Amino acid sequence: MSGSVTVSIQKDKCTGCGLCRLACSFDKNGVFNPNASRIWILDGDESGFYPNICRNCEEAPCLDACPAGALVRRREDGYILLNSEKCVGCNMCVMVCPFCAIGRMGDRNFKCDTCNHLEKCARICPHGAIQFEKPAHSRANKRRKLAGLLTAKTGGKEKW
Amino acid sequence: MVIVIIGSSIASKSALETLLPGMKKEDRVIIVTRDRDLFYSRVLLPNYISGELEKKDLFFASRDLVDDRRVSVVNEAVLAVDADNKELRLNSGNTVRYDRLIITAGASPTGVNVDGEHLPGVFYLRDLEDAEGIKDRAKRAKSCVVLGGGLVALKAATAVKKSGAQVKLIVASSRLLSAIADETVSRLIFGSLSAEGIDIRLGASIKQIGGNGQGVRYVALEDGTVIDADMVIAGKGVKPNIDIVKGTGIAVERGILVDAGMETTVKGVYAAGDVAQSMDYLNTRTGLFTLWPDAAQQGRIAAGSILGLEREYTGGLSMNSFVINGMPFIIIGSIREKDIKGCEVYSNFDERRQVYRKIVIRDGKPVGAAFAGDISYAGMVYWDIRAGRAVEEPGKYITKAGLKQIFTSRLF
Repeated sequence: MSGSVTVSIQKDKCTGCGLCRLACSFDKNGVFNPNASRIWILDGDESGFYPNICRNCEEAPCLDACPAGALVRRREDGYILLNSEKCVGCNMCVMVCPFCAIGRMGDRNFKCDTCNHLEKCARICPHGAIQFEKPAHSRANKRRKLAGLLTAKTGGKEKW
Repeated sequence: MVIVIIGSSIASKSALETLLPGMKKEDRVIIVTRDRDLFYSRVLLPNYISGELEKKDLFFASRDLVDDRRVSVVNEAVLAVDADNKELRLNSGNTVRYDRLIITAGASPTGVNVDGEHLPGVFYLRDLEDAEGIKDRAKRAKSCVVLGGGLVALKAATAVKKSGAQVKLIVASSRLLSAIADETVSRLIFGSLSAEGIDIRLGASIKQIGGNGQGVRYVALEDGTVIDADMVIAGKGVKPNIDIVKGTGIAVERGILVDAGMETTVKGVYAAGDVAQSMDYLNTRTGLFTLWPDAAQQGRIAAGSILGLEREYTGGLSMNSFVINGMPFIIIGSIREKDIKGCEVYSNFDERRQVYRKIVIRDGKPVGAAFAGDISYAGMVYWDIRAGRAVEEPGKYITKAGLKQIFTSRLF
């Protein structure tokens, strides 16, 4: 996915303030309701906070899981988009997402759509904890390492 | 090279999608399918019957995918594969020659096998044509009997109920979803369906479907009960469509046997999706993994094998996600009492919140999980099961706070 923009989380910079969740829910649902947010903040106690969001996995299990054709990868930037018009809320994508970054509200599933490159969460974050950027090689490796950790893969052949 | 794909559901689509960018200019793909419409989702047919979706919403991929001069579509049923001569014999008597073959022929419903099974108004639910028949009949039907306690039967029952008919679910087993669910999950589903107004009879066997030229009038049970019905939907499971390879060197058991590259016992012939019998994720036994994600992966791997890409199927893992009357359920791996003897089992049912979680551990590794009412972190548990990741604190797997803690600790 050369040329694609990726999400980079700087967990040391997150203070857990929750502004990203408000910005997200307002942009997507027109309400300030963290429960409608497509970004989650995990509280690691003494370790700090971790803003968790869809990483648009290179080999994304959600893409294979959707029986409604609602999840597709956009060619231009590699983003995986969930078309809520097509979604039937079956949770198949939730079941296979190693990042636990797909939610459900009403009778639909939802995930980050990058606000069509406006990335409200990243823009509002006062600390720069969330960044959407062209992948630098080191970060790509870091990302793969985390994906490998969550799916307990050691590399190799076919994956999901 | 001529690559023929039998079938036009998800395994076929993912095979085609993989082939197109990797094929040589002179290569050809021929899709042979008995489906009138390509790439519609059988999983969504209940939503079509209930009226939640229109026909146009059923397509998981655009037909544009076959708008490639290297691709052609033959809308015919396959009678038999002739592996010696590398050709397909079609119902019409025509033949199609291949160099490589991918069989994604799917599965067919198991028959009810009682008197009256061919009466007008008796349906199976597999194809769009079935769904159209059910939808049409349900508009006029007052009372519908659904046979079976599996997912297709449950979804058919809720779909017809939404269209207004009275629905009775007749289940031979002593509980719902007995092929995958444990007692608690079965009970919760029973509650959810009952709350939707579906009348459920467990442990009831059907003896006869009665009626006349106009169609079904009643269903008679073995115990003498007679139930008025003007339509019947049979959801008694499916069997892989393996008849087309009979008498060839392509080995079958319940499905077509495939290796990790989805190749059958005949070189150059591959199988994927509901028709394939493949290795499970633990590499211990083969089975039918009639699951959407597996079909998608298998189709891609079969195509990859043809293109010479080194890919291997990671093995099937039984899993299901469904929503009944607003209550979400996820079942991964083995959770049934009889499948988990000798395992460590931790479960937690919160009666007030109607939330159930369960984790099954064998030799220190998770092999099964259930979620009902709250499916948070199911994705993490799915990967833990697939990867066989050692469980350190099993108690944490059955509370939301515990799951969150495990997940969070991995991110730091």
